[in-house]
Amino acid sequence: MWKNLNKIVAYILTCYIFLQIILNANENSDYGLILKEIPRLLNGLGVTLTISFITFFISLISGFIFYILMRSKNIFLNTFIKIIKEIILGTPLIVMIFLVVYVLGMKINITGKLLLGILALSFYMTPYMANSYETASAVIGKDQKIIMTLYNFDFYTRYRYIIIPQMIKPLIPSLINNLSSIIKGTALLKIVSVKEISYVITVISNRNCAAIEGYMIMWVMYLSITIPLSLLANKIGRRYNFEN
Amino acid sequence: MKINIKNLTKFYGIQKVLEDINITIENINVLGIIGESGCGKSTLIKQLSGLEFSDKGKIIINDLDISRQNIIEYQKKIGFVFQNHNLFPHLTIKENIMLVLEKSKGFSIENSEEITIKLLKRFFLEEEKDKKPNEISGGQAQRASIARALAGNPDLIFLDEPTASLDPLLTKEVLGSIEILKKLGTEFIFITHEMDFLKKFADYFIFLDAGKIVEHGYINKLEDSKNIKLKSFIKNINI
Repeated sequence: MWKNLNKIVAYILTCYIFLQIILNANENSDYGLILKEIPRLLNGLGVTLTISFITFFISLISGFIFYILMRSKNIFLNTFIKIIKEIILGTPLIVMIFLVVYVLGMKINITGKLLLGILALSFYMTPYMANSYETASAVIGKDQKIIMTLYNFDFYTRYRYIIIPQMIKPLIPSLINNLSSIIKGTALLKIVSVKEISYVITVISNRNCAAIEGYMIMWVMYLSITIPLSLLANKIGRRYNFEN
Repeated sequence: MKINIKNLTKFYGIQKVLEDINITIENINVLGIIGESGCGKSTLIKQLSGLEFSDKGKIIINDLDISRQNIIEYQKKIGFVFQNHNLFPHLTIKENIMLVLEKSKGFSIENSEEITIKLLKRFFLEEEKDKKPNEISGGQAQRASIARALAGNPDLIFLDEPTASLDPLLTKEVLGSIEILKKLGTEFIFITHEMDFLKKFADYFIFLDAGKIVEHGYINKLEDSKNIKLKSFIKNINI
């Protein structure tokens, strides 16, 4: 009872502070200037979500390939992948977007900013996904590895029947957090004029001289996606820990 | 069973765990390995089963050289039971056995299922077939592990202290399963700390001390041994 009461008070206080920030962000705030263009905002939100989900699925696969190569017994391959991983992890997303859109795009003669943006985000997320797989695979203990060796299970059998089924549950919260990072990361694609939500809001707010209102609405829109995702990740994570 | 070990030496880092082991044993069904904790019993059984390879020396079991070149062929012919049951936790008991039969021993799904059901009946686990390892007792899980080791009708089974992590009641349950192995005429090599277990099942024993075989012989010679270390070991065990 006391615990729940504390929680309720914490939620109310946080919501109050959040609302105060939104409402008092600017003197004479006029959110109507931005909100009058709801169809464009929704369109931008759609683009953001589409980019995010495509990136998520690409990096889900590329991350798995990365994870497998990281575990390769081939020392050259293993080292090569580890170096690439460190380079990507140390590269800011904004630099990755510029590299892919303006360097790689020019070299391979692709000018579609949306496609290149998705590629940039996918490259960027690949090592994070690989790390998620690596962490989740810790659930496979040494004893199980011995049994797999003893019975000479091939690569497919090991992954299809033993490793992946056990990895899924601990992997889900981490994947949801990665999806959340991708969604936030899409905001940087506005620098290459991809018409996702932050680009749309920037255009509308510039036209109406309402930069602060624009950023406040952008903030709320991103939070409305990422907070439910975060809650879902926590819930699944708790359930997994409980089951174990 | 025919075992021929020549100059077997194994290091873990700079520590010598097995030192120049030489032995030839023939015409036995069950071999028991005994010794104090840390004397190299588990290392020896890992070498014999091909889970690890020695730094020096040779092991020939039933005329097959246990080397990296032959390991796939050899491991198809053996089963292994660990201290902890080591069943895959996300699979049911039935699936644990079927997976080995299908993917390791090459049986069809239908045959695997048929053999699995027979094994589960033999080890009194039929009612537990759809349960996962965490839904059954430690003794039942260890019995399932023995059934899995027996899947595919191996020539030889290794048991690494199969009752070590069980209470006396569950130990009795598992010993019943090992008795089944003995009755079936299955050849097996086991490690134990329990003299009753050794005397009941082994035809031949090896006593290890500090990585060396200090005594070995047919089980009826165990009590008559003049070896001081073995006498002291038996005395300490019986206290």
